[in-house]
Amino acid sequence: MNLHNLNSEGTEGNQQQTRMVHVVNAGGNRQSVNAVSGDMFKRILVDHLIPLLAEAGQPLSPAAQQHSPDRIVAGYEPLQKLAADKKNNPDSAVMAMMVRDCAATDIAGALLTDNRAVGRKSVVEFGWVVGLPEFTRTEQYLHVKYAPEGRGSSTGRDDATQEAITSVAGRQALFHRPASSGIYALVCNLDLYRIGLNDITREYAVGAEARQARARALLQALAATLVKPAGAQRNTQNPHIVGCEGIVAVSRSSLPAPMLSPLDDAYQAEVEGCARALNKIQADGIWTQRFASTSEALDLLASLSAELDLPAAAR
Amino acid sequence: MPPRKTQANSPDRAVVRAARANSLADPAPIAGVPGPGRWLLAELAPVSLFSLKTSQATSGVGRTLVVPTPYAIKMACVDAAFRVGWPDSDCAELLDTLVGVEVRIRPPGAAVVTHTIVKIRQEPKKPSPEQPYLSSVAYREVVYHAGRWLWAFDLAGGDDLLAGRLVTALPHVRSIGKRGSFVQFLGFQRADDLGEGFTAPIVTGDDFRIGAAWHVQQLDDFGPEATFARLSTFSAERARRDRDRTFTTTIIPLGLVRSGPGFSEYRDRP
Repeated sequence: MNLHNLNSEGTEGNQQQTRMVHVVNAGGNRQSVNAVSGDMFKRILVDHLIPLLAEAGQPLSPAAQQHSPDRIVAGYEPLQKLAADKKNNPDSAVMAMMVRDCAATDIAGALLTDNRAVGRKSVVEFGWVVGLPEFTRTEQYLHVKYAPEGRGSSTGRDDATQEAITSVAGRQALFHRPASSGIYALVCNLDLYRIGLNDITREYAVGAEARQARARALLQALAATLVKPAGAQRNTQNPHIVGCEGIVAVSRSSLPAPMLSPLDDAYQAEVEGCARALNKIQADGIWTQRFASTSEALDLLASLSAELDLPAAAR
Repeated sequence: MPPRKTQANSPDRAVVRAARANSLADPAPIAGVPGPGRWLLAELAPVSLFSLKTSQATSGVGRTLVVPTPYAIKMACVDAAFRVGWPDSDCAELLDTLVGVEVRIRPPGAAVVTHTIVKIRQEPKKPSPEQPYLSSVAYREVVYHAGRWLWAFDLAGGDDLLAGRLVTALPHVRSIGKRGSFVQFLGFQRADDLGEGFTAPIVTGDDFRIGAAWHVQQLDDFGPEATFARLSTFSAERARRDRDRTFTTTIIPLGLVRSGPGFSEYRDRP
């Protein structure tokens, strides 16, 4: 991913600060490297997910339709009424409504704090997306913003007349903006079996067909996230996606699909080794598939989406 | 009202624990993990940046612990048990039997904490149904660990059934601490003695060793009277400090060697 600024930490004066994290490299030395938070990548995924859920005919709360991060918790009257009646409605009933009435809340989670606290935990989880220290660089670039009005006085006043200088030069605002290029390690976990699952009763609150539709939309949204990481500053710094390699691990048992950080060069072989070891615990529960390009990754996710077969009953 | 348990090591309990520790000195496998050793060691790889706010942290300033706490690890095991599909009664029993089990953590030899500012959703002073949260910013810390973790469980604090349950549940643990702090289970072994490199609680009246590099943190754990109902998020019962959830001053075998405006670097040697 080259020349992006998907995630900034703040601005000091006219200088935007990109997000940096500190890691220890293979040589044991501390290095500072650009990163994109998991929060940002999850937001990107949810922005892709909502229209896909709508296309699949899945229900969305009014706030979720508007891409509000508060989803069903914001202004959904049936939920507020249900949650207000603590005497007759247990938390599990509130959770069931959150899962049933808003597919975005079901998949991406939300926390209700009005009248009582009920939290729907996200089905999709991202870790920090961290640059490989040896291959990732961040530079600051000088830009000029032409401001025809309102900024002239900030560049000074004429000593004689005390009027604002309104030369072309005086109407240009300088600012520094970072751009990062490199190879980034992304880890993501999808608990597809939890789609539609009421975490309190451990029973599915939506039917099998709806769960399949939601899961397909989620896989498609993940594919869209890889193709179009719609983070910050894309109006002028849309990232150049150069390539993508990795490994998909799928678990058909209760064991979690193995996952290791791509910051380690040998991560693919290690994931395959973990899968072999875990398959000794539960035979044929896990399979893995490497991919060496973006098109292979998309093809893999498309195949998974098409062949999806979720468990009929909760474990 | 359930009968109150007591953490005070009655002679009987101490005798039982000592006898159990002796039996674990046998090389015979326990729950399929060959011995000898009273400590069950689970090896895990940190997959992503780790974060677990200290219990004293505020929502605005979320300082992180460098290692997970025994409470978090035990809860991860109980959570895994639910995800495996155990009956509720078995999950509750697992939690109850973990109360008397000591947990220690051996972090990798190098960890770097990044100090950062992130966007959060925060309840306003006067929330409304239409606007339950506002966008805000907060200080957060995340930790990069270079290497592998060992989580040690004292099997002398439980029976063979508990050992079996731990061996079944631990491979299902997917993350610890803040969501997205992924870990990958790698394998089991057993050990007689932990030696240096593991966290060590400071218990009044007991000796403790200090290694080459260290810092001290308050780590939480299940309290002597902890029950499933009191610790469950979905229960009306409340957990009480020092009875259901305890805080122990613990030596973390990593010392601060360098820090700057954006980071704190910890190593296992100065």
